Amino acid sequence: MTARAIEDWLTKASERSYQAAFCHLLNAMGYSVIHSTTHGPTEEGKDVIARNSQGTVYAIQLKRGNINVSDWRSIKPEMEELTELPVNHPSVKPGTRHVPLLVTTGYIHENVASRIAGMNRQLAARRFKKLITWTGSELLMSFIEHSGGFLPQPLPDFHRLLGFMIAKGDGPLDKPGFDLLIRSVLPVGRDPRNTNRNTVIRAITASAIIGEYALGAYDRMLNSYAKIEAYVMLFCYIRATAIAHRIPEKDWKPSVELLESTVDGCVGKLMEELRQPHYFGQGDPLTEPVVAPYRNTVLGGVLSAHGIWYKLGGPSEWYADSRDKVVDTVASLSKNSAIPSEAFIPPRFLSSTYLRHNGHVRLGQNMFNELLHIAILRKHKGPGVMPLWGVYVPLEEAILRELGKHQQSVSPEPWEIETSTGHSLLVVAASRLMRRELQSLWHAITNLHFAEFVPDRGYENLLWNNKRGKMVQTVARQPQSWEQLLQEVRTSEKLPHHFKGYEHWIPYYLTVYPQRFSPSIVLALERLMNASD
Amino acid sequence: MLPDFPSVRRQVSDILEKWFYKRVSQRTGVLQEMRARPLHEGHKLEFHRLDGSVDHVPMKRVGSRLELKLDDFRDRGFQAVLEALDKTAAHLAEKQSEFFFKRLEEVCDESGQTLDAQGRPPSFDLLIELLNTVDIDFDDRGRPLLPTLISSPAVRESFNQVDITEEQRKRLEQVIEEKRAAWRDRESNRRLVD
Repeated sequence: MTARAIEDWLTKASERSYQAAFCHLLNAMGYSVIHSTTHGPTEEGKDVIARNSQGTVYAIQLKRGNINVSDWRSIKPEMEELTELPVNHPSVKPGTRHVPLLVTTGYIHENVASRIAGMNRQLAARRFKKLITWTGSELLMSFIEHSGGFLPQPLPDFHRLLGFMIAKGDGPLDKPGFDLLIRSVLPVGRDPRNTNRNTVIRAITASAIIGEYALGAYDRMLNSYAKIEAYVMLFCYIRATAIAHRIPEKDWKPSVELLESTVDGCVGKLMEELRQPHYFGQGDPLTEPVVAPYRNTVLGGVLSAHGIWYKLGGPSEWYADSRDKVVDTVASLSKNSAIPSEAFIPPRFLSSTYLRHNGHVRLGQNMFNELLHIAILRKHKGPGVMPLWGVYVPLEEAILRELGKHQQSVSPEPWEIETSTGHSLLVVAASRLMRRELQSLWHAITNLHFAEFVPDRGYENLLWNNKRGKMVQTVARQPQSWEQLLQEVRTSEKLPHHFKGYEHWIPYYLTVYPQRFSPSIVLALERLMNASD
Repeated sequence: MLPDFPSVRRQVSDILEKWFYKRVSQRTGVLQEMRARPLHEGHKLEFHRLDGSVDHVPMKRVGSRLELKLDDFRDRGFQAVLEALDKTAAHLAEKQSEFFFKRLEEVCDESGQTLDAQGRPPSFDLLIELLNTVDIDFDDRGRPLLPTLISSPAVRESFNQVDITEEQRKRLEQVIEEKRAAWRDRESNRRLVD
């Protein structure tokens, strides 16, 4: 059953979509992935460059399906590049001879095999290394060997994986479902004393591969946004597992680096789609004007998160060359956007911060000011007030409620008074010395209950939902001294330990985990941004 | 398995669930008017008050048992289901109310808002004394938002029969005015100062 599920995934995967899983597989097999193309066409016939434990460099070209004679003819120029052109990468010494590797998810026809043999004879005569091949069956065996043992075994969890694999994949990520799936692979909640360290390390690598299996449906739909959400969650769960089990960084960092490269590729694809004039033709065009403002908020947030990620040291193959286009796109998206719930506040906040630090100071500040008013005033019942739904309401459900859907629950959830994002915006406003704005809002602020979840262990904030921990509610002071507020701002800022060295993930974390938009981390991001200018 | 109709079952199940909670809510009286908030994460709730005190809100599982006798179920079908659900709803409502009032008593005791009538019968004077223990807010038109009085039917009946003297009416007005002044004080504090 496990083998069939992986085989089915591999059969349906496109070249680009199994590339990430293949890199994680190489990682699990002891190779170090030096480079994985994430953007644009294959570079000199090389999709992936890796090095084995003996130091041999492999240049790898990925294909899908069977390769017959006519396919071989069409890919032969790429194979010549793969075999003959040297690896051109800063991590590889010039002149290093590489092993060319052709990987395909299908089989290689016998007539092609004889042509490869002929090609290899010529290569050997010219002192090049021979082209070697991995076909679908070898690939499948390797995937089974390195991930099969970690696939969720109990039926509900295995069904959940299958559910992801066969889903339509056209909406946001099912985050509660993905949380349960990854928890069934990673021993994040298990007692470290009863868990073998090597098993944890293998589980970390396997989780990234299994995550790719689960994302198959989203991948077929080219749903980059949902994939980004999943990769951010994977990073968080790997980080949490590493902290819980005290796994040295060298044992999990390669997986995280591959995730970083994949996130970068996904955002690059979103930018490419936005450049196409008819990207809005997705789905029923008549529904586009309704969906667009919500999508723009989320999209602006992701693009901004990537700009901030880059500024904070996150890797990107394309961002530096496209910065101006990203800035213009975020500014343009911000003109038609909507905020139905608090879960939309972090992406909007990131857009305003990104614009503010990229030449649109006034626009960014105006957006922040508007956001502050929304977060405070739309939490009070009153004539004409549009409810601002809570942070835990799923994105689509919040949009539907804003559009008039009645809550189905037997005990409808109230939206007023309690806020998980208002306090953070308030302290940011204070840190930016927006005294006048806060003065005009303070009466309304004193009606609010600021809610923040505090887990039993700090790193559990990296998990989507925790059964243990406390929900802490606080209220604003009456009256509030401005000096005291500034003092509070100075002492509240705290970069969580689990993001030390990985600060560039913070903007994505806030986008994907809006319920963690707490004053300490938002102020930390504000400081990091100011320091990086 | 026997032939079945799962989507029909799901619909009926939804209807029954809604009906059940409506019956619970009808029996909890004042509780149904209060805002109920789900706790999305964690197992504890803390409320930090303005005075610096922290209220650790306890969590309690409240449940009830649904009993359906096989014979009854066979003989009377859906009617038997409704009756069993109704009985369970009554039991659940009772437990919820019991927990709520016990907790209310604890909170009032802690904050010194409990008034022991020491055997005195319900009277208007007692009511004024009670009002003195709580904060009262006022609406946009200056009308007091008076608290809801929850009592046993007997006490309610006694209050209904209480005659109000002119002196008591003046005292009530006086209390309301004092509360208005206190409210204005509170309102004037809801601001950002130097």
